[in-house]
Amino acid sequence: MTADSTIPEIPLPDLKVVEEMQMGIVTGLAEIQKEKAAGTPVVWCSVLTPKEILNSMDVPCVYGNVLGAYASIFGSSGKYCQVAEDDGLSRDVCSVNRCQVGVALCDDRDAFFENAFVVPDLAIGSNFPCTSESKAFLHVAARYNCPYYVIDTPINTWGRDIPDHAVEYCARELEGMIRFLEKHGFKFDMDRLKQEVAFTRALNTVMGEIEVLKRAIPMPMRAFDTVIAMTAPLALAREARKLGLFERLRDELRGRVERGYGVVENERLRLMWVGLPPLYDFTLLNYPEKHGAVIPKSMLEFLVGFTMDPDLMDPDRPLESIARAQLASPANPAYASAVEYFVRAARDYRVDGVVGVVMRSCGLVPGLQRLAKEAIQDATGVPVAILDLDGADQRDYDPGSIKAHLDSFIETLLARKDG
Amino acid sequence: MGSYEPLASMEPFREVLRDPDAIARQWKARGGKVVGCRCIFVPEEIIHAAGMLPYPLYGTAEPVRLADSYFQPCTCEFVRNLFDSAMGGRYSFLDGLVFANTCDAIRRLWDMWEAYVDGAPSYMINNPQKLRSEVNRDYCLEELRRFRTWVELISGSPITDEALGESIELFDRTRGLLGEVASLRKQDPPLITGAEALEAGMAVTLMPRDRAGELLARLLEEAGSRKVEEAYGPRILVTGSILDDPALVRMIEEEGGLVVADDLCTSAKAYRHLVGAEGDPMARLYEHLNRRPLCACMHPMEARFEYLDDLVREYDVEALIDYNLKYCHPFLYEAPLLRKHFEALDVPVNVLEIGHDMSGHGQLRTRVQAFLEMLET
Repeated sequence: MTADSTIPEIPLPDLKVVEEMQMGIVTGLAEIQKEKAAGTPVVWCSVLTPKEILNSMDVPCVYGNVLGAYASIFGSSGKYCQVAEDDGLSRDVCSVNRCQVGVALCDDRDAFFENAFVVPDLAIGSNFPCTSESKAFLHVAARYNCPYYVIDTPINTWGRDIPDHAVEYCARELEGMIRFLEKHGFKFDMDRLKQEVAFTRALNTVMGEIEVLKRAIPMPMRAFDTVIAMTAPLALAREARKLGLFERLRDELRGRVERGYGVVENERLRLMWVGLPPLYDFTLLNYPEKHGAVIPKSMLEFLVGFTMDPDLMDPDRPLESIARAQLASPANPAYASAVEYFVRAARDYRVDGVVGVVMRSCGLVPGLQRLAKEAIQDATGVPVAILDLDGADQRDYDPGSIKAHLDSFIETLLARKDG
Repeated sequence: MGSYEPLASMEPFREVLRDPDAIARQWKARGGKVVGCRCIFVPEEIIHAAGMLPYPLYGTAEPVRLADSYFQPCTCEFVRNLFDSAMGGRYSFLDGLVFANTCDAIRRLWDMWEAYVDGAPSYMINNPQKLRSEVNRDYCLEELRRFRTWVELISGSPITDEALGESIELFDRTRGLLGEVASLRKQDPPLITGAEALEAGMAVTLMPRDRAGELLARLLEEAGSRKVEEAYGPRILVTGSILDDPALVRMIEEEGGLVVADDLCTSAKAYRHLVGAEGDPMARLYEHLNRRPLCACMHPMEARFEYLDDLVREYDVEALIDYNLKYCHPFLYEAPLLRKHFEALDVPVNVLEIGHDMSGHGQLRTRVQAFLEMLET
């Protein structure tokens, strides 16, 4: 391990409970290292691999793309992308996954990976929500000679009426994942899976309440805190992976709402962020606050799935529930449900403008932004600005020009609002 | 490469490629219906059995203009090219359009087509992406049935199993003939060039299959007795993204390579296996889909590499050229792994990443030249 390169400024959480979540994430990574040291196989998997199955089988898992994200958050995306590109991976493929592959291949990882990196024994990928989430793991599996399982999740071409044959196929793919894990030493217990599904149902209920509180004007939660809170359930240490932290967050937000407390003193504008925020510069998410603008909603919330309708999760039919949730998710690549989600969010969060970000190396979002822009504008009249900004590869990042674009969009929105 | 006398029997295929829409337009003028298809995972036999002409969508060499207002430029260039043509009205003669579930870019193309292209209804066959599996059987069969129902709606008449069986037989006959054409490339020297095989393979997909059968039989006869005075150069296999223009293969051959085999969806991948004649026709179409050569959009990757291993052995291949379209993520992800796989077998691989419009043609030629020279030393 080498010394850290220059670590960019990372905002501090505003809420105490979110700070605890952040600590819990760090502890969670250390726990995985301990389990590995004790001889338990470690699985690298994609971020939408059903956590209910992993948790119910006590699988220590590293979300490979989260490692890629860390490389970016700590200012080293250039280094890790370069490692992957030196191995032959094109610069045009997903930068989060390029970072992941770079972290996997690198023999000279930075010090901040000391507590985060664990050599994988198995890999699990999925084509949900995109090609990268299945193909990037081929490189990880090849580097560490790991057995690899891919979950094939159909795209939702059916809309709201998802047919039984699709749910059944998806559930059988998940059964395949269970058999794969069993083959490599993990034990499956249906009752525990039911408990995990019940937990997701309860968690999604609390997350749903948090989401409703975030609709309040003034906005009670900073955008960066939301990023931590919404991704925390994936990576928290096992002890912290309970409802308590999220219930406290909800209660704290409720208190703020009741007191009329907002994260900016004089809230003038509300924005929605569609697309990945730049992981290497999270300060950008709080940047609009200088104009009195807040971001009550971002795409991360639906990507990680914790704001899904809790009623989709039926503990008595665990695999079917998970399958149905994956098919119905707005992250499922057919655009209709994503666009519907954006339009509804624009209304619910009473946003004045939408910032759409096109990650240059993403195969999924380009194109979607145009569809989302028109749908949002047609349905709500809310203007949408599209910025060209890669989410993880900071080599072409020009903060001055991005901030100038944001400034002019916000100023235009303010002028519009002030009439 | 050596000297290959031109084949007169190639001319009808080239004629088709010079105006790829001509046959479809003529078909329409006679009152027939035309259904556009993108990807070899679309079972064209179902369209044919309904009395309609399946028409595969190929791109043009034109630069993209209109599509860039809809897709960001980091989207697959082939997809942007097709959408550009659609927005320009090129496909207004279609009665329907079918995509197969292959990659993110095609899925988004379907979304965009639905939203912005006026005209014929479109359909996405929601095929599994993980093949060589029994788990996908019921799901895939149901998706094929649903597609059949959609085709019946477009055509306005039911498809009988008998008609479907006949269409399968006809398409298999063409596949068999194309397979025989491909076998001419196994010889040393190969009796047909890679560019000729690609031209014939692409043209066949654009024409009614009974007509294609006659032309292929003529080509086989003429090429089978072709005298190749000299043929030299390394025996090359071309694999990679969709290649809908023979220019690249022609360039490799102009520079001295013998393109004896390919793993392209516009060529050999489309006719490697027959659907077969035994059993329920829908079940046969499913079996065919599940066992056909995989592209990088599908899983498992090992099956794609095993198939390439087979081609290397069968065609006595000395080196691979892995052609990747810009922003074609599935192939770009597999490219480094493919290179390592074959280099471990002492088969050199040249990975190319190029634009659909063959921009940077000069640089590309230099890279191909350098690779071929390296092979010869």
